[in-house]
Amino acid sequence: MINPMPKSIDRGPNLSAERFVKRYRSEKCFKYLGLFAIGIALSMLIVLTSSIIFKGHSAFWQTHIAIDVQITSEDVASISNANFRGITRTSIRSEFPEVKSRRDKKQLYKLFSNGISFEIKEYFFKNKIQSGGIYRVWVKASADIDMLRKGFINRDLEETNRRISDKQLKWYDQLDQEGRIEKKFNVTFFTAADSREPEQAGILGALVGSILTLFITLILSFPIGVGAAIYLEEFAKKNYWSDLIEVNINNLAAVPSIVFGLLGLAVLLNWFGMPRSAPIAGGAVLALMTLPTIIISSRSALKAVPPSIREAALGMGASRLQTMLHHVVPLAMPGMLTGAIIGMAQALGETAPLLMMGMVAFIVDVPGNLTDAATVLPVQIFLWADAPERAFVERTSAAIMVLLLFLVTMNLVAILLRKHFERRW
Amino acid sequence: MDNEHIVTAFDDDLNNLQNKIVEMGGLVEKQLLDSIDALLKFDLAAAKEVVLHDNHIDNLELEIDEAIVRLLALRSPVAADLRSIISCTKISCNLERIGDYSKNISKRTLALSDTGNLPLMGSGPLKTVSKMAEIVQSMIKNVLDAYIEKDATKADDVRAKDEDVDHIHSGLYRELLTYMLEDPKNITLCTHLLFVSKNVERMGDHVTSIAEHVHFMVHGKIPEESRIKRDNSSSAYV
Amino acid sequence: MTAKPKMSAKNVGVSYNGKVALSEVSIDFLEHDVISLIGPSGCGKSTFLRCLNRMNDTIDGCVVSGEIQLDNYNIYSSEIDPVEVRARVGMVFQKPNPFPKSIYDNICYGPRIHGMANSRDELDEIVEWSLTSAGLWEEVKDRLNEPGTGLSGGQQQRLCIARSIAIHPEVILMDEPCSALDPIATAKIEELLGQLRSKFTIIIVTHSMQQAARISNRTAFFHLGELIEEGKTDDIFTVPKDERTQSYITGRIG
Repeated sequence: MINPMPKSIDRGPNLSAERFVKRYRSEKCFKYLGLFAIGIALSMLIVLTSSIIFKGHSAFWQTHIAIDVQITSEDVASISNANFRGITRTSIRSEFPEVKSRRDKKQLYKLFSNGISFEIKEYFFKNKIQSGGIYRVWVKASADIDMLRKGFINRDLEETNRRISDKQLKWYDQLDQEGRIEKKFNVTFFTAADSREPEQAGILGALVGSILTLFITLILSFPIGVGAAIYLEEFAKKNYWSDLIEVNINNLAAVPSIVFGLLGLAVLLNWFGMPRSAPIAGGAVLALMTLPTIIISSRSALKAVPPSIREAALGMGASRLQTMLHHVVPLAMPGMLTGAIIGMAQALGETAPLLMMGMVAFIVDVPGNLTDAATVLPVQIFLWADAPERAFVERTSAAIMVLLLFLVTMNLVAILLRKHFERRW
Repeated sequence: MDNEHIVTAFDDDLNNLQNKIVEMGGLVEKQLLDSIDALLKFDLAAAKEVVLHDNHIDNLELEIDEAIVRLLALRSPVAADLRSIISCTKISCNLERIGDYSKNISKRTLALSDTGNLPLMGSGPLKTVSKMAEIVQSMIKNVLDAYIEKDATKADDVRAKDEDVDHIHSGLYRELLTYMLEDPKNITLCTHLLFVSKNVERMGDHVTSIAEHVHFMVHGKIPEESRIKRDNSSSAYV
Repeated sequence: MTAKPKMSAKNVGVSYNGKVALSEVSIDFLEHDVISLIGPSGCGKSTFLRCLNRMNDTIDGCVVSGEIQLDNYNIYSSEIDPVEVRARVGMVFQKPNPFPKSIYDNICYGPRIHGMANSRDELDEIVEWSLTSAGLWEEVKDRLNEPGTGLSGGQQQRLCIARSIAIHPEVILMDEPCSALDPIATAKIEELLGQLRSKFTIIIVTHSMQQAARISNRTAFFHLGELIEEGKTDDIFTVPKDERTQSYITGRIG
């Protein structure tokens, strides 16, 4: 028999309606606040994405002009020796026979991109033209014409305030009427490296540079990070030193990334003499930056594995290393991969340490191996954002879109990998 | 053990059982006294009462059996608790037999009413039987005390007392045989008295058995020394 | 004739970070015995069990003193590898903990790492023998590739038992193996233990005195870190020698 409750506190629960109403009201309030916050975040995201897409989508289209190229059979026979610059200019002038003066000719040539002679050479080479004659070849227009076509240049301004002269406008309209101006898909954007001319500029160099750099980052930081986490979690004795190491790793994760750039500059470039601006150097610095993130997330993934699995394995007579590798690490892999995803995504977008390492150079070649000079996507975006030409504005936004797409693809791959490793226990 | 079970209901059940044993023991004691009294005073009405009251003892034995089965099923007793409960089965059985003997004595008292007042009434043999019954009655009391107090030493003392009862019974046996040889008219009375004496002696044996079970309850084994049997009536020859 | 004990503990003491959990425990375990360790919570019986296969080594700050011999070898001597001890002294835990792998892989993990099978066929044989001995073969023979965690609680525990006997240990330690199971599963495992004792020595920690009474032939009672009494199960449960044992098994302390 239990003692009766003292009368002063012998009340049942307060089940009055007003108490419930208050309770549910605050719950509803919280729910709506949450929805509101999500709404704001989503709308910000939509605004950001749409502004990028709006600004950048036009970069995927490049204005082309059709030229009737006159070529002799001798030139066709020996393409590498032929003077395509002359052939090009002759063909252009033949369209506009009234253009005589030097200045006017210059302006006429300025309608086209200054690399069209190579384009035409490429055309004849690729299509294996055997005989001479007149061939219609589509070549890139200059950046200014491209901007005019896309409507970014105001025709109503005075000539002195425009980049395109009245004469050029006249020739443009003439070509347009003949149906010889078209926008085609801008393949160059994806196949060329950086260039001073916007119409010849592409992101392939930066993309390959990013891939190579991230590859180095991944193969350096993931094994070392996971190995360090395993050692610290399972094998290291818990004493003053291990506590010190843990505190320092946590702090490193918060260090500004530019400090890692300084470290890379001083140690990797000066001391070890690594090639400046190469993916191997940039990757090494980014690996240093990503290590703390991977170690911390791997450690908590390892801690989350239930001790019953370890005990079961040890009880079977497995050594500590066998227990770790056969049982604990596979179970902790989803968490470790999550940490790796976060680390890699961070590394992909890092610009400051790479700037310190000198990966800000103007690189016109697509890097072929890990020691070639390269640049990365964020740096490329930074450079183009700084460029004065109007055409680079749309290309900057397009490059941002490519970067985001790369990031999403990388995350998807990692999520698929993680799902593959996930087990129920 | 003085301390109680964590589950107090278990203690309540055990106490309930003990109370029933004590009650039964008290009834048995009374039946013994009443039946001997009825014999000595030749009180037929009292003898009839004793015969009727034996029901109560039988009912109590049934109740005790039920309580024991319940305890075994529900409490899974071990060690001292188990020994205590198992001993109760034996003890109640023995008490019931003692009760039956009292009933038998009273039945014989009623049978003797047909023979009328006989010269042997009020003399030697009856006094002897009375003395034997006194000893047995004190034995019953002591053994019940030993049971309640869980005192094996007391139980062992009770066991030793049975020697006296046996001794007295052997002597009375011979005496009664002598009377029967002297005068055939005494045979009926003496035969009944023989049985009464035997009943009382058997009661003593049953109390001894109870004492042995109390010893087992406390120590976990029955007493090592075998009972001393001084009843050599089975080999008596006159 | 006293048989040579399979395992014996001499003056074993355990302390965690200076706090004494177990003191001066000496006990012998004979071959093919089933010994129950009983006692109230916190009395040190699980701690003692874990000493027998050096599982306490994995706990920081745990210091074990005294000697534990397995067939004349002191398992705590520096020359003996704890891995070898654990291969000869298996353990089954309170909560069933099959590996998150298939049933087949669960059983053959041990034989694989100890190099007990030369071919896939031999592994198959080991798996079949282990599951049959554990009374699980009929229930799972058609789904050996399904995850071990998909079985019911009782089946999982039998899987863990099969897993531990697959490496032919000499002694099997069980830490309250049935406490997480329903009565039918418990009964099946108790039946299994009755059959396993013909091959192994079994030491089992249990909270249920009825279970200890049912399955073991010897019982040891622990209280407050000491071994109070040890003897035949029959004697412990009918005529215990120590007052404290009596109090515990009749439900007066604990």
